[in-house]
Amino acid sequence: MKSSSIVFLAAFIALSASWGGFVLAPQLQLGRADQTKTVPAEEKYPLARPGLAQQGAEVYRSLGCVYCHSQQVGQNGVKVEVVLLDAGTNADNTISALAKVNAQLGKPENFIGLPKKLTEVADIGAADSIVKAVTESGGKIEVNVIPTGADISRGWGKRRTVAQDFIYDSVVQPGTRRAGPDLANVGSRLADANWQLRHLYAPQAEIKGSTMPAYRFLFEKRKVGKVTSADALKLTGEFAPPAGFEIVPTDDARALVAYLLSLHAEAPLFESPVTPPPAPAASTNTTIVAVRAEIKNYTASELLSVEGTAK
Amino acid sequence: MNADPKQSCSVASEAEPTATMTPMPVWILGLMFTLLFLGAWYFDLYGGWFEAKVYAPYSSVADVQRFQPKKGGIADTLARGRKLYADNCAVCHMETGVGNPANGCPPLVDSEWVKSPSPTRMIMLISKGLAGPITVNGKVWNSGVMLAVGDSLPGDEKEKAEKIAAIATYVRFQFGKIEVETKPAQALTIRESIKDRTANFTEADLLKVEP
Repeated sequence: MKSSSIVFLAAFIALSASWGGFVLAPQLQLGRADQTKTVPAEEKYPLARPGLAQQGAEVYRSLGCVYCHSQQVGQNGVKVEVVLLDAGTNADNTISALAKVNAQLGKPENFIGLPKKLTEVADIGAADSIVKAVTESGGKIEVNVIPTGADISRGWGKRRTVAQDFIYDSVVQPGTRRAGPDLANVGSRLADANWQLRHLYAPQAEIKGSTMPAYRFLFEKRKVGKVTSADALKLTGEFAPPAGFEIVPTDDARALVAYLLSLHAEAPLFESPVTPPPAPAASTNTTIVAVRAEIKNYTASELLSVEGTAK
Repeated sequence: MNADPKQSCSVASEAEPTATMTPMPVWILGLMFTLLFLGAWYFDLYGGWFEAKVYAPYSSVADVQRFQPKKGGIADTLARGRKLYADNCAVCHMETGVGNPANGCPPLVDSEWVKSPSPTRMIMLISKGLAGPITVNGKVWNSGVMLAVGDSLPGDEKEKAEKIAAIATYVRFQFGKIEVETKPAQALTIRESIKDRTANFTEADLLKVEP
């Protein structure tokens, strides 16, 4: 063949270009990603999974959960909410300052019932002039950055999923199909381990019309001994075991649930800014104080009065 | 096998194909430039110069930077203070600030010590700890000793002052409803004045200081 060297060269260039694009470039781009800090709380993110959850990731993989569940939340855009917290000591001053920025905002009725959402803008630059006008006239204002998109409005997450969320996964399982809901944030959405166990045993018991298959083989049906096991599932109706039997999760079920509860792709990161929710208000509930007051330490004599185990 | 071998030769054979250089058609050149243009245009819109920190809907690092939650305000200090409180204080005073009567740890919620007009006493208390009983809202609490949490925080003197200021800001805001940021400089000055003290404070010591 006369032009074998040209054919070889063309094949080499084509293959190396795709290798460079699919392997080398992502490696250069993300290969050195390491634990970072959230913004602005500066907490470490992500944290390594606890051991049981690490095993659960393998169970998740072996059961093929990834074929029906994705772990990637999409985001189409971002909206910026401007919330007026306080009009300041001279409210008229604030009103006229706001009216200069935007006649719609500088209306006295906007200042009733604070804190109140003043406006929603698409670009943060538009919020800056409002913030400047209010703070200069002594008022207090808050700017909330809120990601938007179909997945976020479904409640599947607070922000888009980014590469940082997966850096500790040895097999990254973002999934390709959504026969079931996205699980990127399931540990925050459905944080009840008992609910998760019941749902794995009988999905239709928890969600009517669910198409998820039941994972009964992750549970053991056994005769009740002297007392019912503490971790027996509390099932009712058609899914309840016959009298004298109980349904107990196996180690695999426990590991899988630990893994599901470890999925929290919601920390505010630099690459995916989102205003974190405000800290929950302090409990001034006096009943908590009252209940706590009843807790008394044991004394040595009380402990000695209990029948000893060592004889 | 009775076919006449000569018959196949009767069809005139076509000319032998040869590999020669021919100029590229102009339309391919045009298509290539159009694709290149479209590619560059798309990259400019969505590429973000292959930055690992740039995702849609943002187009550059500067763009992402603009959307960051604002730093340096009281909200930022509160977020840090909340974390520090959870790590260092919540063991005894509880996450909700209700205290732990079983151990004699006083509540912080609505405590007159927390609602004190200046954070001076709180900074002293966090820095060096407290020994003996303390009266909170008319009730005497005695946990024996509150450790010198402030002195044991990691970091140099400046970092400690920053952390103590963040804790004080959070506690005063969350449990005393006082929305005033305690500045690190304030904590630094107070800590400087008590730096030689090795013993814990007592309630009497704190009451000598202006609230």
